[in-house]
Amino acid sequence: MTAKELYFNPNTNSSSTSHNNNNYNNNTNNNINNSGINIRGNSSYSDSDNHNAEVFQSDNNFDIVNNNQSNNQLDANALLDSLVTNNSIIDLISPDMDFEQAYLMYSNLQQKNALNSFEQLQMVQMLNQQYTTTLDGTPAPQSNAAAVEQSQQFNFSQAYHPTATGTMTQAGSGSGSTPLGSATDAFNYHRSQIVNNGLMNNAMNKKYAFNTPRASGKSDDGDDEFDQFFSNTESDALEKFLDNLANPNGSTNPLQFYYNNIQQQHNNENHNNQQQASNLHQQQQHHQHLQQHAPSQQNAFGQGNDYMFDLYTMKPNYKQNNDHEHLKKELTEAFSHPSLKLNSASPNQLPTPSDSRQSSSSFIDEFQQKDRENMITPPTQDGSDRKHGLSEDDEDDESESDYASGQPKKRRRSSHKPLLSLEQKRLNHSHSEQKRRQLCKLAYQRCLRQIIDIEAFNKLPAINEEQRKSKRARVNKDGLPNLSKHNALIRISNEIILIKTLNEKLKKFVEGK
Amino acid sequence: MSSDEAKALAGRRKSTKSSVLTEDQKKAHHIASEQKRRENIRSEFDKIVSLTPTLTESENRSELNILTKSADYIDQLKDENSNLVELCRMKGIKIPEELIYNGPTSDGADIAK
Repeated sequence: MTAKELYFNPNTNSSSTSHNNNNYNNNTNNNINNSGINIRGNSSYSDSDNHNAEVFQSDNNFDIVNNNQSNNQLDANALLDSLVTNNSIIDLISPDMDFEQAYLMYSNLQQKNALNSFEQLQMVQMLNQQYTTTLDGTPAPQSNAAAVEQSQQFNFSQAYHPTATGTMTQAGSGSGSTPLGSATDAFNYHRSQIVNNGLMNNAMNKKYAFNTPRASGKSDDGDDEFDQFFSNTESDALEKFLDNLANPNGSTNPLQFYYNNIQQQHNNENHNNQQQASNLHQQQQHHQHLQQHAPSQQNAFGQGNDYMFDLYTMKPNYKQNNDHEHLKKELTEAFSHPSLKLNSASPNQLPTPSDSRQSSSSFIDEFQQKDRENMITPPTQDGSDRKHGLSEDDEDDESESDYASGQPKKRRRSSHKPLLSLEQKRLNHSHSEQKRRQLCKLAYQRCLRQIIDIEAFNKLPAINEEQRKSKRARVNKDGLPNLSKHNALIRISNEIILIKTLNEKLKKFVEGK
Repeated sequence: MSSDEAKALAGRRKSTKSSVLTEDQKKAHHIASEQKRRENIRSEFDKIVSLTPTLTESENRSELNILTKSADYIDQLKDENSNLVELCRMKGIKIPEELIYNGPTSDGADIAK
């Protein structure tokens, strides 16, 4: 595999999800194992095995420069190793421990591992510079103290990079401060890419590749505690790193992608768009935004690991807060209500977060007020409002007069009469049906009293069951004759006919006289 | 053939007759009986409406309306009968007792028979 093959390795794509992280780690592990061979096999970039030895010896200068940082790293490594070797992190997090304590321990562990990764990247950067100068033929002096520091510093990488450890035994000297030339610049990028990629993947494999055989005797049971966050972060960082290398006009610092990665999280915009003309207003604003913060990034990088520490721990520093606030203001202005834009004091002045908060709250209040005005009154459960139509008319008249006076509370009642609930409708229907049946019953009883002599009926003797032919009872539950409807109607009509006949005969008698 | 055997045969016929009818036939008979009952009631209502001058065909044919107006008409006829009887007495006309209406003649003894 060549350096270009490594560059175009699809496994370094950040779009790889968390499901194929094992795959990713396995492939990157292969890249690591083959990285040294690839460098040597590529005749255009390296010509002998001594280059690898020079590469790893040149870390002495890096240790001299970053002596304090390496000491801090050693302390962190010591604590991490003690945590990992003595007990697993799962054993340390006992059930009696609170969530905060466990989370604090977990976050500390993540910070330390992130620091380790960054230290390795910085070491490889320095290593690349020395390697480039070695190609130019300007050897640099090497100090014994730096060698001691280097042996302590590289104790971490030796455990996971046997090839590097083997080449370190072949001590050579090579370091220089010659400025980088344009011809060696591209080679430096590819070289640093290969080695950085290898070391980064090595660090990632240390954390995530569970099937990788370990050269050290350290127990990595606690590494399973890491979630996919750092995996994705480093994958994104690796992609940005490779993009940076692909851009010939990009920054010479291979670690600058970290800063671009921070800013590009908001708009998914490639940092190469700084050279492209963008007609979109928001992109232009963000472009200016990036340019404004470029010096501060360089200063932050020159000051050490504080910026990266904040990146890995996700603790926003002051400049990031300013970025977020500025972006928040722009988005608030872009998506705010047009009337709010008109009400602003000056069109160019962005509202403060408190102003935007107040404006949004006032807008919400206004919307809620309008909604409250247009809201339909839900039906009341008690039937007191609908008892009499006259009272409803009175309410309507009252509400209409209130509507003329402009009171919103009365306006609601005027638009819609209170609706009856389903239960109320059902009760009203049953009540009406009972009322109708009661009237029918009274009319039927009245007819029965007109067609049957009730007094004589009540004096009737009880019917002998043996003599009884019909199964029908004589008396119904109301104490009246238990006539069928048809029989009762026949008797009614017969009674009418009877009385009519009597009256006609009487009339004949009166008229005949 | 003794009388006991004849009763047994009659009962057997009844049971066989009832068992011959299928459920659909029973249902059809029930529906026909119900329709007949309602038709008889409707015919009687029509008769009452025809007898009662306050009820017309185009009027509301509800049961309550018919019963109420028919009862009112009966009361009206009773009052008319009593008025005619009083008029005959005032004119000195002898009228037979059967022309005087004294209330319903039926005591309801024939209901359950």
